[in-house]
Amino acid sequence: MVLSITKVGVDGISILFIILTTFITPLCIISVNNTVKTRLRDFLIAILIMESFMIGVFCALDLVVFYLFFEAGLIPMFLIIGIWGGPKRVYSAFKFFLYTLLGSVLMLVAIISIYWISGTTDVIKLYEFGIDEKYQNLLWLAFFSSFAVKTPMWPVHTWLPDAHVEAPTAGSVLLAAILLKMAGYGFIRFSLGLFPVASEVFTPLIYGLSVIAIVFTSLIALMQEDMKKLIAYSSVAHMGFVTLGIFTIQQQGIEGSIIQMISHGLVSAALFLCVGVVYDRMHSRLISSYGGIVTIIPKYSILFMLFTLAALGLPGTSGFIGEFLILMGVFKDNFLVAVIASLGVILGAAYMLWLYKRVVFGKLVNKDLTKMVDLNKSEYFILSCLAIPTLFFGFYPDPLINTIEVSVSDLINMYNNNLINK
Amino acid sequence: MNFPILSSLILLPVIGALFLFFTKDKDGNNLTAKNVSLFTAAVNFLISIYLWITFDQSISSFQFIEDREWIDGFINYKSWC
Amino acid sequence: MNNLNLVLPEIFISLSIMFLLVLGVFKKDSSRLIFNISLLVFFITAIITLNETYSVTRITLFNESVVIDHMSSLMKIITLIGAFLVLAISSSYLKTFKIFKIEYPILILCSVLGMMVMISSNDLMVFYMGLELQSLALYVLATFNRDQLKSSEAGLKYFVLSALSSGLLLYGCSLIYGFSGSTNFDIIASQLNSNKYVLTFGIVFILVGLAFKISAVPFHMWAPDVYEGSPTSVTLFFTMVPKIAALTVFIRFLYVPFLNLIDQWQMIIIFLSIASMLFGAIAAIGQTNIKRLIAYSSIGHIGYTLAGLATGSNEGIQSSIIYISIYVIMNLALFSCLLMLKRNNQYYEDIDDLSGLSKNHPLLSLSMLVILFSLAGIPPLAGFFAKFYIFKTVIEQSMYFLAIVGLLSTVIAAFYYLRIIKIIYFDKEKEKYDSDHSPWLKFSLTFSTILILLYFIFPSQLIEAVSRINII
Repeated sequence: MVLSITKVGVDGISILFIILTTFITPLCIISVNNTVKTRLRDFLIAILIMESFMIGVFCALDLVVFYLFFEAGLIPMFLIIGIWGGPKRVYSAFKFFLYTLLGSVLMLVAIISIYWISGTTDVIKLYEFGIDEKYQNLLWLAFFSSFAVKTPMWPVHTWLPDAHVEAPTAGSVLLAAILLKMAGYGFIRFSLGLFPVASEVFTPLIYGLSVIAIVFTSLIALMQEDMKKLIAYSSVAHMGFVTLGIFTIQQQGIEGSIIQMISHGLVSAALFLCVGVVYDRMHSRLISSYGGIVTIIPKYSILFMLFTLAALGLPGTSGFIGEFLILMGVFKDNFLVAVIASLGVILGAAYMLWLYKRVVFGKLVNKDLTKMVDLNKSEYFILSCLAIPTLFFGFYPDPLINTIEVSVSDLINMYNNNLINK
Repeated sequence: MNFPILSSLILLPVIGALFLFFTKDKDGNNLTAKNVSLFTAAVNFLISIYLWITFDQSISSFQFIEDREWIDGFINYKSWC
Repeated sequence: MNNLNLVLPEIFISLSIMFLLVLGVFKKDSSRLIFNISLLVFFITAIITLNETYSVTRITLFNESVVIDHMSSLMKIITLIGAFLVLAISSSYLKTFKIFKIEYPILILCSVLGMMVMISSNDLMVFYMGLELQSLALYVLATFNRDQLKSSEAGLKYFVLSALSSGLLLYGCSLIYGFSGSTNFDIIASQLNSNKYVLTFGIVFILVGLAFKISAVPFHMWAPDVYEGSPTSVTLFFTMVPKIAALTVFIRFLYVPFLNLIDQWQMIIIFLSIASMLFGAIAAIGQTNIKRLIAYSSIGHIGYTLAGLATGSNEGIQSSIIYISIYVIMNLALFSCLLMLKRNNQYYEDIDDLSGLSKNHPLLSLSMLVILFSLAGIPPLAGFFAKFYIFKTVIEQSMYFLAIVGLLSTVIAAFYYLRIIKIIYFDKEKEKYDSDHSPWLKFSLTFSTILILLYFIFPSQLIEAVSRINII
């Protein structure tokens, strides 16, 4: 009998994330053409092992297996940041590892407690039988501590900018595109699925933190000088939208957050790769070193423009679909929160467009920039591979929505049933 | 259909990494390493596309489930189709 | 009817010790021969134990003072195999420091004999006898490297402090004898109703003595100095094997006679556990010597093991035994790595000597990575499962505070394990170390690292072996 991993399975929600993971990983591998110079083989081993763990997270149907894969992913990421990263890589690697580990150990206590209370850690069985109401609050908080650090939510987001800045490009891509989504997935699968009563109780908390994340980090992003840090903070803001959408617990809200996660995976991967492209040529991530490169590297500028617009949620890109559905869901639930979140959309447009203007448009001040070469074949290939789904799903999101629709509505029905019965 | 597709999805990169482990580590442009890893990742992607295509979008329950006993009495396996 | 077959292992070891002593004295230059014969003795004794005693449920011998049950045979086998591997990998270290004498393997045999007696003891006197035999051998082993000041200091320190703790332990034994009228565990258990709470005095003294042996906080003071000063192969022996025996005695002592007094001793064990876990995590952070760091880290690990004991359930005992088995494997692997750091006939023990190891010795660094992450308790390695079982049993008994402290100290301890990994992988490399090592060393490193790495595939094997242990 072939060795099979215990208790795995997919439903509509998980399958999209698995596709995202297997799609981004080959692109990452192609991208290390130019960026990683030493010990390439070890780097690729780390990426492959990470891919394995990430897929495992999304298809685990048992809490212990989920926790195993969730935590195991820390090891390769720690090594990727620490060995192949920038000057402050050791500090960022440690911060990333210890922050995330601290958040997750409480989840371990919660998982063991669930086993003790319900006699099983099998997710399907737990969906059927539910968990006793009086324990749900504490368990929800334990799971929340882990997912909040990984999302990352304000105020435990401070590890992300450091990790992104110091990580090599392929590491940042994996981190932003997939690692962050594990937390969002965890919220949907476990916080909503297993603890409906507690989720109702804590929804205002999530709303508050998400809204603060959206507005506050967007404002911080406006002030950034380092491109990677700016995109990192924009990731926090986008994930703020995602958590907002998840806890609307409406069909549109949750669908929107899933699509937003997929889109953000593609778009932020592309943005980090774009930063990587110019960094490879000029060895600087500071916005001030650039300006007016549109005439020098036009192909790059077009693709960069596309992803900038996708990041701010322009209709026609996948970013719009996600944001729009989330806001629709939030408007139904709480008007004030929706208004503030929409403010975040405006701020998002502000910092992304300003970034683009300062880097690509404007006067060509730095004379060294004229020596820059346009995209080579592999970079062009990667960015177009990311551009195509972004545009395609922007105009035709049906494949995505069809995949998740039934699973999401089933989740919501189960949620509402559990609420009524308790 | 009984083929453990999800397990292969998870294990294939590990097997690829194992293969990589036994190649030599050259400084600079290490074509063997890149090709092996790219091949593994690409195959994984194709398998996941196949998974998406054969996924039944009309039912809400979990599909492609695999179950096996792992830690006695703790993580239990039940078999599914 | 005494079934002497069941104590055949102990008899065999005692006879071999006597034989080897005579052989060593009368034959010149026989250190190599004695060494090899001792390895063989360990191996044969392990097989004898497996054959004779493994399938026994519970038999008491010698007027009920010696008990052979599943736990004793399992622990004895682990001890014997551990001692076998420890001895096997120490040969080049001993030769470098010119301490490859006939007394070394014989002392290890004596110590193991003492441990086996301890493991099987069902009586305070038998236990004390085994304890003293084990400790006396260890005192001499600690100072075996006569030409180094540190070694003599370590041995003397260990001797004085250990003698003090043995004295306290003996005092506790005499108190218990005084209040219950017997030194036999079973008889003490049956006498419990009359003088219940007075026995607490005796228990406290004995626990102090035992906590010293197992280096739990606050009786751990000897451990860092002794571990650092002793020859590395002896430190390896210290960290691995005596703890198995001490843990078994802890289990038997707490659960057989005094199970009904659990509300008296449970708080003590919880305190020992929490203090050890936290101290082991925090104190290791500033260390620069690997052996000292290992001493603090093993204090932390003992804290986790005691947490399993504090639960008062069979599952708790089983999880502690699983933890100590996995800990033994991890320690064996770690020290195998340490013994490979040899250059120009000199061994290196500072953490900075590990700097940049990954550049010159990729396989060794990869093994260190696996071992260190396992010690930190990161999935999917064996160390995670060890901690997982402990926390599972602790939470099942609703001891949430203990679980949370344990998990927090895991995170704190992860810091210094990460620091070592950082030094190995991220820092500048030093000169290359020797690559030719004895085959036993390479075998033990590969074997233990693969066990740690692939434990998650068959976790139930160990659980099945341990689950037949039901003391309560």
